[in-house]
Order: sequence, then C-alpha cells, then structure tokens
Amino acid sequence: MTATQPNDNVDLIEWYFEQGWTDGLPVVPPTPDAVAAMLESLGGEADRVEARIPPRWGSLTREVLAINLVLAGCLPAYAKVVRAALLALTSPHFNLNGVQATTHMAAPLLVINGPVRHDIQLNSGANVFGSGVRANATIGRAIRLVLLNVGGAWPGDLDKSTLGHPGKYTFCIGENEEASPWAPYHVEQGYTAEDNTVFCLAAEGPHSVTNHVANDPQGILDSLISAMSTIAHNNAVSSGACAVVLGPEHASTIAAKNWSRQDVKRYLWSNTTNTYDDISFGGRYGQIYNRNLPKWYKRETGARIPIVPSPDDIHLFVAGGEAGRFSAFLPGWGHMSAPVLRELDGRSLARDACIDGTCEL
Amino acid sequence: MHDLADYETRGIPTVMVASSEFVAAAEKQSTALGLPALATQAVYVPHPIQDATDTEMRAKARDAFKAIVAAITD
Repeated sequence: MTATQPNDNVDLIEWYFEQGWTDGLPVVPPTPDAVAAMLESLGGEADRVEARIPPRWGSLTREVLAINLVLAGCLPAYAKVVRAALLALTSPHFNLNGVQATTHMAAPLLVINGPVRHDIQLNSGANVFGSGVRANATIGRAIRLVLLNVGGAWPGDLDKSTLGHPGKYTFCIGENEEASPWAPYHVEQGYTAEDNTVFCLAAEGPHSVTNHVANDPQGILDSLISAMSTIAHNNAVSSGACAVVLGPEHASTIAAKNWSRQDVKRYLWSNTTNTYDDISFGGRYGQIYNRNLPKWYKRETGARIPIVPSPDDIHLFVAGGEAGRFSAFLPGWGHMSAPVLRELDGRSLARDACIDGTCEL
Repeated sequence: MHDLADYETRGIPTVMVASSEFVAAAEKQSTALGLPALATQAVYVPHPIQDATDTEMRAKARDAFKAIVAAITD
C-alpha cells in the first residue's frame, strides 16, 4: 500500500473505495491514532515483517497488518488472533498461493479455541456462521483485506475463483466448548484447555445437515454421511481434509450413547458411499485414473472411494446454538492444501502432559 | 509457476503450458516472482482442456508441440 494524502474535504469512505483498498464494503479510516493502538497490541516494531502474502508476495509488516485491522473494523484485542491466523495461513503446507489463485471456491475457514473466545466475545453459539457479532465479522474480514491488499488476490485477476463463496468476506467461528460434550478440539490435538488456538482449513461453504428424528448416533451421522457422499464437492475428487460442525443438540445425543469424537470420525469415514464408478462416471468419459486421489485407493468397479484418506482428516467441531437439530459439512479444497492448527503465540504442543485430552476430563 | 521459478533458478530449462484463460494470471504471477519471462515464453493452448476428449487433447498437444520444444531449447 502506497499512501497518497487525500485533501481535507474528501469523503474518506469513498476515497478508500477509489484507492481499491476494500473488499467491496466501506472500510474504517485508519487514522494514525487507531493504527498506533493496533500496532501496540501487536507488540510495536512497525517495520517487522510477519509474513509475505502470495500470490503477489507482498510484505506484511506489522504496520501494514495494523492498517488492515483498522480498515476491517477490528478492536486491538483481536490483533493477536488475526496475526496467528495469518502465520498459520502462510505455513508452507497450507499452500496459500494455491488457495488464493485456484478456480475452486475455497476460502480460509478459521476455528478458534480457548479462553480468548471470551476475551474478544467471539460467537460460537447461535448463527455461528452468520452475521451479527463484531469479532467474527471483522477478524475474518481483516484476513480477507490482507489477502486482497497485500496478497493481491483480486477477483478475476490473481484470484481465479469461478464462483467464490460468501465466506470470502469473513469465515471465522469459535468452537462452542461450553456446549460440547467432549474435550475441546485443540485439547484433543494435544494443547491444554488454557491454550488459545486457531485452526485453518481451505473450505467450501457449510452444507446444512438436518436430522430431527434420530435419537441415536447412527441416525444423525447417517444424515451427515448422506451430505458427504456426493461427487460434487472437492474432497470427492481431490481428497485432502474436511470439517464437520456438529450442532450442540446433535452432539449431546451422540455423546449420550458414550460415543467419543474419534468414534464419530471413524463412523463417518467408514460409511460414506462414493464408489469408483461414481467418480469415474462409469467410464462414460474414458478411463480416469485421478492422480489427486491417494495411490492406494482401488481404481476398479465397485471399489469404495473414501471422502478423505483417514478419519483424522475429518476435523470435527461442536458449534452453534443450543436449540436446533442441525449440523454442517464443510468440504475442503483437496490434498493441495493441508489444514494448520496454531497456538496464538506459536507455542508448541503440550503432548508430554496430555496425549489425547483425557487429562482434561 | 512457482515450480518453474524454482527449476529456472537451479538452471533447469522449463516451459509452462496452460490454457488461454490463464494468460493474465501467468503474467502477474511470474512478475510477482521476479521472472516475467516465464509468462512470455509460456505456451498457451485453447481453453478449456479439462473436459476435452482424448482426441481433442491430442490435437491440442500436437499443435503446441513445436512451440514447447522451441521454448525449452532456444
């Protein structure tokens, strides 16, 4: 961003539109005071480069990050969450360049765990993927503004997405740890409950999964399996990782039968119904090998094609309002991008202390 | 484009083959990587390729073959 000075009579909101520094919505003018407050919450050092953002490989200095945080409408308390998410997104195995440039609709989904959710009043309850809460709205928006303004991923230009999806405005939720019958996601991954983490997945939009009749795990999960067992989403043809978000009512019903998070993931993984015939269209367009799928999948008629290579490639969260028997399936982009889990301050796993979350029970 | 840049900086000749819808994206990506020649030396085949039949793909490959060889060897 190279700033030119607007004169005193200019409408700043319109001026920022003219500069091309927005996601299409009005931005908050980054006054020197607001940027200074944001920079302070990032630890100062305005010129320090936190990351380089593809495809343009722009340098994300702390000052540039602070400006984009203000533009997005963030409070200074959100800064460390956005910073951690950007460091996760720029991990090499996330392949942010690909996520930014692909014709697929993927957008980076953020799921936040830990006490920071309360500190910043992040929504993990009703309408969790929807509008209405500042932290969710502006944290995801700050990510997008950085991806646009620093990464240069402007639609039709370096962002070649055919359709995109609404999560490209913001795509940030908290896990509803309080309503979950299980240890929090990050605890099952080896962190402590006091740690704060951000999980990032290049994801399609959430697909609603309704089931108002089942009073057992199998019935609820069979509805999820129905949503997962299509050839239309990207996991079906490009493997990789996906996310499943159980609504609290569904999660409670499942856990009441003593099913663990692992049981859920294994049941989902084991019972999807895509076959090689489905993904190869029965040979209608010739023989399809599909190098995007793991080598060990059988490429023969009748062979089952798993949605993702293993149960652990299904990232399972509990989120949403406590009333309503709904869950959601979020397909990923594919094996081209690996999900990343990062502690806010970059602390490593506490695996020595807590291997599978059982010490939190 | 990133793979090409990696190979080129190691001294291994490369040529990018893409469909014609990606000319502008290739130019911007290669410029961002500091190697704009990667896009100007690229070979573009008529878009689309993903739903082309085997016969159509062979025709696209045949038409592009000389340009690909020239780009690597010149």
